[in-house]
Amino acid sequence: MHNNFIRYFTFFIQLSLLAFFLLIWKELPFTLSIPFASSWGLSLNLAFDAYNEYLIFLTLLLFPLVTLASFSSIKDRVSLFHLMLLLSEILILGTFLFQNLVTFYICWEASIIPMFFIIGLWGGQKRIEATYKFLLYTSLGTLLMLSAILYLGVTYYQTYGTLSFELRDLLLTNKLPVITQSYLMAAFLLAFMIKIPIPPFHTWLPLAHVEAPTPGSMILAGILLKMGVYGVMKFTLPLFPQAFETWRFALIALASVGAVYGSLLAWVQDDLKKVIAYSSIGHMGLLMVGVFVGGEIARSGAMVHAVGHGLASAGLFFAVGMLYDRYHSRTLDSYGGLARKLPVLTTFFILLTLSAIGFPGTIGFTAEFLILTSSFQWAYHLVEQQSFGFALALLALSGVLLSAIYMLRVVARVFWGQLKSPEAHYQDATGREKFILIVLTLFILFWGLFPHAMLETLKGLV
Amino acid sequence: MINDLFQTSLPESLLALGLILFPLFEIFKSTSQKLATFVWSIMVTLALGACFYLLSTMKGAELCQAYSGHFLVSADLLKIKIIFLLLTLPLGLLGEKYFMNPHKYYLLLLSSVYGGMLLISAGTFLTLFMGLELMNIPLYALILNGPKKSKAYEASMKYLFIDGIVTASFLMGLALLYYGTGSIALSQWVSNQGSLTVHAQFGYFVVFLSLLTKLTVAPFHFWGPDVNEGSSLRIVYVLSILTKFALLFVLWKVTFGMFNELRGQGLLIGLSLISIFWGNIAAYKQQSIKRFLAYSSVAQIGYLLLVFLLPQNEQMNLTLLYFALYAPVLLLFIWGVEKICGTNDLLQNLEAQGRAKVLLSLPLLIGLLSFAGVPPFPGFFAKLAVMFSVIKAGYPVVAVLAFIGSYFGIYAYFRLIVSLYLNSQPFQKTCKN
Repeated sequence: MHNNFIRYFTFFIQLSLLAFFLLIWKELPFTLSIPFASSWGLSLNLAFDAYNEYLIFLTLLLFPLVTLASFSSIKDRVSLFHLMLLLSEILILGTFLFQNLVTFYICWEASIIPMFFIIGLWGGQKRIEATYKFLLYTSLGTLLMLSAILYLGVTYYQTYGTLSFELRDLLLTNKLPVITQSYLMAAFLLAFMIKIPIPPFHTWLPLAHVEAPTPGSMILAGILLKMGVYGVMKFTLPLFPQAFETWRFALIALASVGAVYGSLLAWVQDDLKKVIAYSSIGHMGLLMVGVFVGGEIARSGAMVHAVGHGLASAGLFFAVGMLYDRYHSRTLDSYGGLARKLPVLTTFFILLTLSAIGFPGTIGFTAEFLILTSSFQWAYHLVEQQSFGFALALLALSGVLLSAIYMLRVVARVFWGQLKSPEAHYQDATGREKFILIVLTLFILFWGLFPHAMLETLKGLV
Repeated sequence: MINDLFQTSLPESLLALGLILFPLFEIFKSTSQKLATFVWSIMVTLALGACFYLLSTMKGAELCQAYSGHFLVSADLLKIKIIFLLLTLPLGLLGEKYFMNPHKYYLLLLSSVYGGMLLISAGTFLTLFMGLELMNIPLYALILNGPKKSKAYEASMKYLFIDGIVTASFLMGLALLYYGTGSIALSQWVSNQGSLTVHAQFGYFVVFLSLLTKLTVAPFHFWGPDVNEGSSLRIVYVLSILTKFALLFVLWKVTFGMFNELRGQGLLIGLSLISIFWGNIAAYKQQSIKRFLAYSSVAQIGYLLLVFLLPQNEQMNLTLLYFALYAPVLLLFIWGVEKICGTNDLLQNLEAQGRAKVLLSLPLLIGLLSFAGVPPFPGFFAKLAVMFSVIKAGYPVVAVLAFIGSYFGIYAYFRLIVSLYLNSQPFQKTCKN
């Protein structure tokens, strides 16, 4: 009774945040300026713009679903868990909203702590190892990013005589020498690429996913990874334009290799959660190809992919969590032929899978189509090393093709074929579980069939 | 303008009055903890009030000299004293349980605080040395009354010997400086920096090294963990906050721009980075909370030494800010540890306590996150301010290295958080001891 009250209370708070956002969404974009310790260069300036409005919507949409998902998987210390959920939601929203680099950093770094506890307290067998890895990987990048932020602040102070960490002020310092810019950009990118993650900085992610409880995995894949994407699009690329031009080729290469690498690794996994974790790495690689290729189409494609992947991977992790709650196994071999016994779950799993592999009519298709088209366009317009550019675009394309192979392999082995244990008790999705899956697939299909609604507002992304 | 001798040293005089009051307890055979704490708090508060009063009478940057230049008062020095007394005041809240008579504890503590106040106001080598001794000698006795007698004796003897040797070399350094400059006034020494004789340079070097040893800057930190281990937790606070606070201002006074003169920046950067790295790395392996805190304070001193790279006028405020953010957190941490572990300071005792004692473990969590420099806790802002200034002074690489050093600290501090919250089984004692 007590636990249920806390669950519904958290759900209610999250829903009201979502409702509030939907009410003000018409007024966007807008900025809100709250002076706070301005002599220290700090402020609480908020802005809703094309960079963050869909990510904020995704956050506000996924968190109530995560709370619903936690009903069956979190049984002990429920109040602490929901406190961590709310804390995590607020910090993630702060990361997306704040326009001051130091306040952004504070939210970014502090959002590690609730996640640290969610994995560490409610995780699986190797949860402590997973928390250490998660913490140490993510904080290494952020410390270097902080020194870069301070360096930019000092540069601004020395040029203009006042202290400010506002993004719009620091953008004025983009006349730094390319070599300095490259170092600073490396510091920023390290923090963001660890979070996204792009190989070779990805090794924390599979372990964190496998050990995290289902709600933790949903937050991790659905939202936390997008913080890195947002950081690259909003801060890194505008702050260091010349350095980015210098390194663009290498970055695209890194991202497209990441797309293929993640997909290949997903292909050989036997643990269902690991398949989806590695597929996240692959999808994020493709997404970053879009970000690095640049231009309105590619960036909008990347943003659509961020939302699409957030919905699909959160749904897939939830579905795997449903299987795990029922049969206490995540290995592919222990399942088979579930379609006969669990038709509802199978239907939704396949719908989510279709979005993950970019099937037309789902949001995944819109995203991948935009990214791949613009990356081939980019390669076509290259003056030199055109063939290398095409090779990179083909690499990104093969990542998408591979995603179809490994996801359909999962579907074939888990849901088709012979039923492994016919005598076991099978229970299909309950009303609560159906609700979560329906909401996720509704948005996937809506934006898949009517991408225009979303793309219209993403025009500000350049 | 305050010319009056009595007025200039009013805060110190009030503390001295307290030093006279406490022996009266002996006469009346009072063992009341509350009364002793009350008198202590009143005397420190009065001294604090006197500092505020003096500050209100000071005009701008004027410098008052009293006792023929041995004793200096200025608005800046008064601000330092106010922070120092504010850091001292909470010790009354912690109380004392290892002394037979609480008033003896407070007498010794007050005498140490008095020494610290003299150090801050010192105008010549004489007052400097007197303040240093007054601050340190009571600590020998305070350490002696630790929770475990054998450890406490060891710690006290170690502190006595090491500190004795270091103080002797400090005195020798001062003598050489006197020989080299012909004056015992600090101002004289500062203005003579340009033309230093070999004696003065060597003397300065000796003074500098002794101060570093007293501050437990790595690699001169070896005595710190041992002494910490033997003393009670409130003395750990005194050792890592109060003495270091006063000593840093001594360093501030005698180095007054020296690092540019003698090209000592390299040395300073090297020492502070070694402290940050070693303090954070060695903290990871500790089994005792007090040793852990000792290494943590080695790392903090590393960050504080970086402050000396900045222009003279920025050093003081930044140091004050750092202590004002760091000390309350340490105090909270110590309070939590004492409530949870009592006299047994092994880290094993913290295991799974986050679950058993939810509210009491919160100060520990806040303390650890703050030491690790995780936002939005105070330690983060302290480090942020220091690093910003270091980059502003033109040393971005040093700041990056210092951040990497504190990265190791994250590992060490989160190890404790993991054992507090994530370990499900409390530590079981396998044998009787």
